Amino acid sequence: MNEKKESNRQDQQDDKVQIVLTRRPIDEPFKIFSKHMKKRAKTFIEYQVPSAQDNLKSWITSFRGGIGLMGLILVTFIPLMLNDTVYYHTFIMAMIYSIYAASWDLLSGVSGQVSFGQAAYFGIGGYSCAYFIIYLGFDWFPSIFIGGILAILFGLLVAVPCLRFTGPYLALGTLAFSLLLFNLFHMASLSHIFFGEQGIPVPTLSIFSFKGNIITEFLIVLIIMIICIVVMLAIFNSRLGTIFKAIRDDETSTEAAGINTMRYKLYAFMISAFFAGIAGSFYVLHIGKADYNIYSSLMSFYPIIFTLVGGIALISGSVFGAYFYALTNLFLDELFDFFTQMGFFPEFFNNLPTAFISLIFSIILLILIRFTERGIMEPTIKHSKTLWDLIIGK
Amino acid sequence: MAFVEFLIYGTVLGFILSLLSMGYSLVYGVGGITNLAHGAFYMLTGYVVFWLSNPDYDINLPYNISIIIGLLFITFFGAFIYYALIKPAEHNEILIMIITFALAVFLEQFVSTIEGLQENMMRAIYLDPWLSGSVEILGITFSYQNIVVVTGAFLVIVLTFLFISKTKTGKSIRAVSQDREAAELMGINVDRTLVVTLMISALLAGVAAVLYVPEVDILPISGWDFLLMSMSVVILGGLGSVTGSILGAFIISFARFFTFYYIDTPLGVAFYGVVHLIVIIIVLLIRPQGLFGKKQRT
Amino acid sequence: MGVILQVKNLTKRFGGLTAVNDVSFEVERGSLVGLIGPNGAGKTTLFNLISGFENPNSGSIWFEGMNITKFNTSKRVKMGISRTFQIVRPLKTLSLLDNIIVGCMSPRGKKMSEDIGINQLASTILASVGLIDKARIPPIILPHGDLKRLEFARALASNPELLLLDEPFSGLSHEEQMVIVKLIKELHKEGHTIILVGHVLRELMALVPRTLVLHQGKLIADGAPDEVVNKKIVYEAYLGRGES
Repeated sequence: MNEKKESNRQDQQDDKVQIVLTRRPIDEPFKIFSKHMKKRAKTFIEYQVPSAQDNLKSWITSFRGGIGLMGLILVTFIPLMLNDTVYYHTFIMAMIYSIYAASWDLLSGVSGQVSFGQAAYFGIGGYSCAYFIIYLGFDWFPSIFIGGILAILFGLLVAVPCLRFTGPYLALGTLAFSLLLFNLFHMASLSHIFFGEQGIPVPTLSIFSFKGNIITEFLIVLIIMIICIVVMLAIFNSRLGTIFKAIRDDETSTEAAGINTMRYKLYAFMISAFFAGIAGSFYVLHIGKADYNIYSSLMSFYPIIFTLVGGIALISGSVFGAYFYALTNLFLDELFDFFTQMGFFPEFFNNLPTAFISLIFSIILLILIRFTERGIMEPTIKHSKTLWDLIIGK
Repeated sequence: MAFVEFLIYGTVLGFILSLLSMGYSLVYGVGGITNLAHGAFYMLTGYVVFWLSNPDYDINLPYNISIIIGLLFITFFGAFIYYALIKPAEHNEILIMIITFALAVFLEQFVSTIEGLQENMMRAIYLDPWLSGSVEILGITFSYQNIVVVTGAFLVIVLTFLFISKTKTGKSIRAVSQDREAAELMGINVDRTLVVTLMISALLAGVAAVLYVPEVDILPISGWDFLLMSMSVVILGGLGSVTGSILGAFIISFARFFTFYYIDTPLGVAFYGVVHLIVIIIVLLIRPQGLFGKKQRT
Repeated sequence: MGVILQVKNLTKRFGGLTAVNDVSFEVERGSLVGLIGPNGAGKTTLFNLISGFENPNSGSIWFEGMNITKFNTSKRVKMGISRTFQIVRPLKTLSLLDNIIVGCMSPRGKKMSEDIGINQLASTILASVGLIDKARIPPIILPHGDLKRLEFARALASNPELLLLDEPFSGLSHEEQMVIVKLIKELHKEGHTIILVGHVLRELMALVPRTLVLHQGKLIADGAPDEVVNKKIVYEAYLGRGES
C-alpha cells in the first residue's frame, strides 16, 4: 500500500525519468516503444551520430585534420619533387610499413589481442603473391589480393587455437606460429615446397610496369596505402570498432552485455591479417624476393615498434611511426655516408653492419616505452596545436 | 649407434632445458613476468664468455675466469634489467612482454653488430669444452663435456631446489609466487624477492650457456630458439609445476633428437628444429594447462 | 504467471570454503525479489552462478523451464539473463553512449532496436537513468554514482527477462538511490523479473515484496521483508557485523 502512494508521488515530481522498455517477447516488435520514440523524437535528434559528411567536414577544418592533410600532401609531393630513387624507395617502404603497422594496431591496440607474430600474415601474403605471379602467371594486381586472402586464412588458423587464451599465452601462441613459418621456409631440404634459402625471386619493376619505373610504383603504393588506411580508420570509428574497443577494455563485461566476443576477436584477426598480407605482397614486390627472413622475429617486431613510437590504438600513430622509422633510417644512412666520406672512424662506418640500425631502433623503442606514455605523435600534435593557437592568437 | 647418440644428446639437452625452463617459469610464477629475453640471456652469456676468452678479441682472459665473469655479468644484468625496464611496467603483463621482446631484439642486434664489426661475416661460435677428450664406458663413448653438462646441470638444479626450500629468500620466493599481496602483508619485500628471482633466472640461463655452448654452437639469433624451447617446456609441463618443467624438458629434448635421428618424411626433411613449436601448438589445442599445470583462466 | 527461475540444491565451493551451500528457491515471472545477507554470505557468488560466470559444484539452475546449468555466459544473456557487477565495470575508453551501444549490439539488443535504430535506443536507455547529458563523456572522469547508473543502464540494453542487480544502491547518494528505486519499480510494473542484492536498507526492504536471506552460503529465510527481518536467525546473522 505504502509503496504505491510513494511511487505516484515520485511520478508527479520527476517525469524526466521514465521507463522506456516494455517487456515483450523477443520476436514481437517494439510498437509501444516506437510510439514513445516518435513523440520524443525531437529531443533525441541532437544525440544522433552526425552523418559521414558532417564528420568529414568537421575533421578537415579541425587542427588535426589540417595536419593530416598537410602530411598527406607532403608525403605525396616531396618524393616527387626530390625525384631520386633513394627517396622513392624510402617513402615506398614507409607506406608499406604503415599498412603493416596499422594492421597490427587494429588487432593489438584497438582490439586488445596482442600479436607477437604479425610477420606470419605479412610473410604469407608476400609468398602467396610471389607464388601466384611467378609460378602461376597471375598479374600483380590480383596476386596482391590473393596474398591478402591467403593471409586471412592463415590468420584464422592462428586465431582459433590462440584465442582460447588472453594476454601472454595468446601472444606466445602467435609468436610460435610465426617462428614456425620462419623455420619451415628456411629448411633447405623442403625447398621445393617451401622454397628454401633463396625464396622466390620476383623481378620487381617489370611487375608494376606501365612504364616500369619507380614513380609508377610509388603512386600505386600511395593510392593503395591511402585506401587501406582510410578503410582501417573507418573500421576504427564504426560500431565494429566500438565493439573491438569494448573487448579490449573489458572482455568479461562485454560478454556480460551479450556480445559474442569470440566471433569479434576472430573478425579482428581476419581483418588484421588481410592488411598485413597486402603489405607483405607489396613488400615482396618491392624488394624483389620472398625469402624466409620475412617471418623473422625482427619483422614481427617492426609493427610493434612503429605503433608504439607513433601512438597505440590510433591507426594514425602507426602511420606516423612507420614514416618516422623510414625517414630516420634514411637520415642515419646519409649521416653515416657523410661520416665515411669525411673520414671519421673509417673502420667503423665503412663496415657498419646492417644490424646497427635495428639496434638503434630497439634502443629508441626501449627508451620510448620506458619514458613516455603513449608514443610521440599525440604529444607532438598537442604541442603543435598549443603553439599554433598561440601563433594565431587564441 | 644412432640410438646411443640419441640417448646421450637427448639427456644432455634435457638437463639444459630443465635449467632454462626452471628459470623461465620461476620468473613467471613469482612475478607474472613473461621474460621474452630469456633466450637472449642464454645467447648473451655465451657470447660474453667467448669475447672474454677468445684470442681474436684482444681481451684474452683465462677460460675459467671468463666463465665466472660471464656468469656474474648476466646475473647482475638481470638485476639491472629488472630495475631499468621491468619494474616501471609493473603489473602490466603485456607491456612487460613487449619490453622484454624489445630487449631480446636489442641484444640480438647488439651482438650481431659487435660480431659484424669484428668479422665481416656472421659465424656461429663455440666455446671450448671444459674438459676435452672422451671416455668409454660399456662400449659407449661419452665426451667429457657430456658428463660435465649432466653433472653440472644436476648440481645446479639441486642447489636451486635447496635454495628455494631452505633459505629465507627462497621462502619469500615461494610465498610471493603463491599470493603476492599476502606475502606483502606478511612483511616480505616483494620487490627484492622479484629481483632476486630474476637474477637466479638469468644465472640459470647463463649456466646453461656455459655448459652447452661448448657442445652446440650459437648465433645471435639462437636466443629465440632457446626461448621457444623453454616456453614449450613450461607449456607442456604446466605452468607452476616444477616437476612438470623437468619432465617436459626431457620430453621435448628427446622428441627433438628422436625427430632428428629417426623421422625421415618422404620429403627428406628434418623437422627437429620445429618440434617444440609444434608441441606448443598441439598442447594449446588439446590440453592448455599442460601435463601438471593448473588450468589457466581464459 | 509461471516460474521463470528455479535454483535447485546449488552448491559452490572454492577450495575449503563453501560459498553457496545447497541453496534452492524459485522465482515467479514478474516478481521483485531482494537478496540480502551479511558480507561474504555468498550473494555475489549466487549471482555468478545464475549468470554463468561460475560453474556450480552440484545442483542445477532452470530458466524458463530449461536446464541452463551447463550454458555459458553469452548463451544465458541471449536467453534473457542480464546482470550488473558490484564493482562497476564500465568500458573505460568509450563514451557513455558507446557503452550502451555495445549492449545494444547483442542479439537481443539488436532485436529491440529494429524499429528505431541503435543510436536512438541507446540514447533512450541512457536518458532513462538520467545520464543523457553526459552521453559523449567517457566514464573515467565521472563520479561513482553516475557509473553505477551506467552499469544499470548497460544491463537494460540486452532487453533482459531476468535482471540481476548486484548492489545497485551501494555508494549512491540518497537522490541517486531514489532514481534507481523509481526505475526498478517501473520495470517491475512493466513485468520484468528482478532480483537485487543489497544490504538491509530501509529503501530496499520497503521496495521488495519478497526477501531471500543468505548467511554463510545457506538460505536461512524467505518471505516478506517484515516477517524476515523479525526472524531471530536473521537478526543473529547480522549481529556484530555493523549493519545499518
